[in-house]
Amino acid sequence: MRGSPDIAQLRNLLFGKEYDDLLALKEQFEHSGKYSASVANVISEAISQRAQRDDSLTIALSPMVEQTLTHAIQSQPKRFADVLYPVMGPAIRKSIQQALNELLESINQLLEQSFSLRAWRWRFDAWLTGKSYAQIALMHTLVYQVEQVFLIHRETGLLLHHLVAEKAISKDPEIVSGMLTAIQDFVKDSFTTNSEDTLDTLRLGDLTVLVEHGPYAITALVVRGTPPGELRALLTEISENIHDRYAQPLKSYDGDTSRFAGIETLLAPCLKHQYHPRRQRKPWLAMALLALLLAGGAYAIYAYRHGHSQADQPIAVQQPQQAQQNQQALMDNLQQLKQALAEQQSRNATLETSLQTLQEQQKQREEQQTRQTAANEQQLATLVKQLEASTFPFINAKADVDPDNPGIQQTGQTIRQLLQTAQLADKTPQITIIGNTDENGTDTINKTLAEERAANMRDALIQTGIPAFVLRAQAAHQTGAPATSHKNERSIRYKVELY
Amino acid sequence: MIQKKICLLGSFSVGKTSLIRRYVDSLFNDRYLTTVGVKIDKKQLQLNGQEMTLMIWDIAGEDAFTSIRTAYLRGMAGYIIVVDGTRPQSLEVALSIHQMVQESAGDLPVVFALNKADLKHQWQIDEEKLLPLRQQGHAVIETSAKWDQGVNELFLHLAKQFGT
Repeated sequence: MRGSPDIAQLRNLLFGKEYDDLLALKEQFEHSGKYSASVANVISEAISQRAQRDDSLTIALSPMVEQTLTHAIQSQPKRFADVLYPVMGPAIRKSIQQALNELLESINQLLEQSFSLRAWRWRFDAWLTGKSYAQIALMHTLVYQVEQVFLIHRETGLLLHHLVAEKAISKDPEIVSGMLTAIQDFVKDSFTTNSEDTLDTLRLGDLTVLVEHGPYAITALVVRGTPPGELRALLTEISENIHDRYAQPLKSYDGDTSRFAGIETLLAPCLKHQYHPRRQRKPWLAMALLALLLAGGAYAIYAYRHGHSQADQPIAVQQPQQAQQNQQALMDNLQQLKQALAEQQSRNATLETSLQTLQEQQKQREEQQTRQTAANEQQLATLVKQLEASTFPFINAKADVDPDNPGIQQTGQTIRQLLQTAQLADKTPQITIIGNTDENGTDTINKTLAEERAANMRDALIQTGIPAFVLRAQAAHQTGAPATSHKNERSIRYKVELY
Repeated sequence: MIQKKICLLGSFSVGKTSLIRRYVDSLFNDRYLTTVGVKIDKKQLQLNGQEMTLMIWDIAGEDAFTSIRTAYLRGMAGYIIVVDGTRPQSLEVALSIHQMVQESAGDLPVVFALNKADLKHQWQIDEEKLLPLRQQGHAVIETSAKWDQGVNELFLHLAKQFGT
């Protein structure tokens, strides 16, 4: 209502042009057509800005969008199927192809494990050894597996924690941990080593024990197969973590293992394994079986169609287009199968090359090892000969031996070399020092004198650093000793036996 | 669970291994004793209502040519020294071992086993020779692995000294 002309004139005087703008806005709100046009100008920017600000728009629109889509799909399903076809078609084909490949692979594996020569050989091994077929198959397909993890208190040799892998066999771990510690001490005690040196690897057949010495605890892994280099790094890292987290309980350990609750979570990552990658051979057996099934299926369809073709001739004539489509789909599938086979062949070639390289490296290593073993054994034989040829003269009726005598020092040096070489050749030497006398004097006196000479020489050699357990002392006059062992001389002789 | 390491010491052939074999169900071969110089066995027992595991280190006996590897004694909670009643010299060896352990490991719980009680008529060690040990407060228990006499008491006596 604009009122009388006077009032209108008064408003113009008071508000001027702004009053006209207000009137225009009012009209815009009152007429939906104009208001919609106005909102349409800004709605996209407004939605975009709000979506950037928070999720309220998505939350508000979701039920409406869902309802709308449901309604649209129910009312026009074919249209949606047409729209989705380019996306869903390849996805479904890919999924079916993958499932088919996996099926082929598993059928092939099953056939191989049932009928192949290798499978029968494994079964024979299992029968011979009394182990299960699964265990034998595991042993042949395994690169390595950490079977057991020991955490041992360094001072006492007591077991703090023990983990064992599934299917691995573990004998009494408390006793094993004690023996591991004892063997460490035995080796350290028996051979001249630095005080910081520790025995960090034991190997027997395809079993390796990796040992990591921390200040308060020893961590040991029993590994079947060939342990990779990174396993040692992992072991070191875990040992450090244990010492970091449990330093105080380890330091003040009094036999109470309950203070190490939760330590298994630190040790568990050590239980690793790796299997031989399966050689990607073409699954001939499965493919042949599949081809047979397909041929059977095709014949059944053919027979069925042929039977019906005479009765349903008019219908068959009406459907040539569908048959053409089926043929095209079959061709597409064949094309994809060919492509998949080509990719698999390429992967096979790469794997074959890698395998050949590895085999060559292994062969070189074995040749080098053989050469080294032969050289060690030759050197060992030379040293044995040298030691057995050496002697030490005594003064008449005396058995004194001076450990500082250059001859003794030289013999000590020879024995040390012999021990080192024997260790490399995986042999254990036993050196017998045989005391001799000349024919002067009575048998009783001579026997005592010979024993003293041998014993004194043994003591002198021990003082030069030779471990006591490798040396044995005896007189040449011993009962049962061969006559050739007795030399008519005031000396000692050495006899070396290798085990 | 409490674990304790104990050692059996003594001259050669006094019956240490037989005592252990009588006390535990041995799993491992005695061959370790001749090769490495030690064999380890385990025995679980209840003491004052608490489970205890004794890790028993059977350490090769001392003779003219070999001495005890002291590294094996490290970390033990106590020890048993075995004496052969028929051999007076084994008591001398026992006393020297006792002294050596005291010097290297300090005062630890110890029990002396006077073994081969089944041959008591041949014993050459009388009570007078054992008096110094008893005066020092050490228990001396007569044992026979053959007759299973005093074997459980021997180990239990030592375990009780650990004060769980």
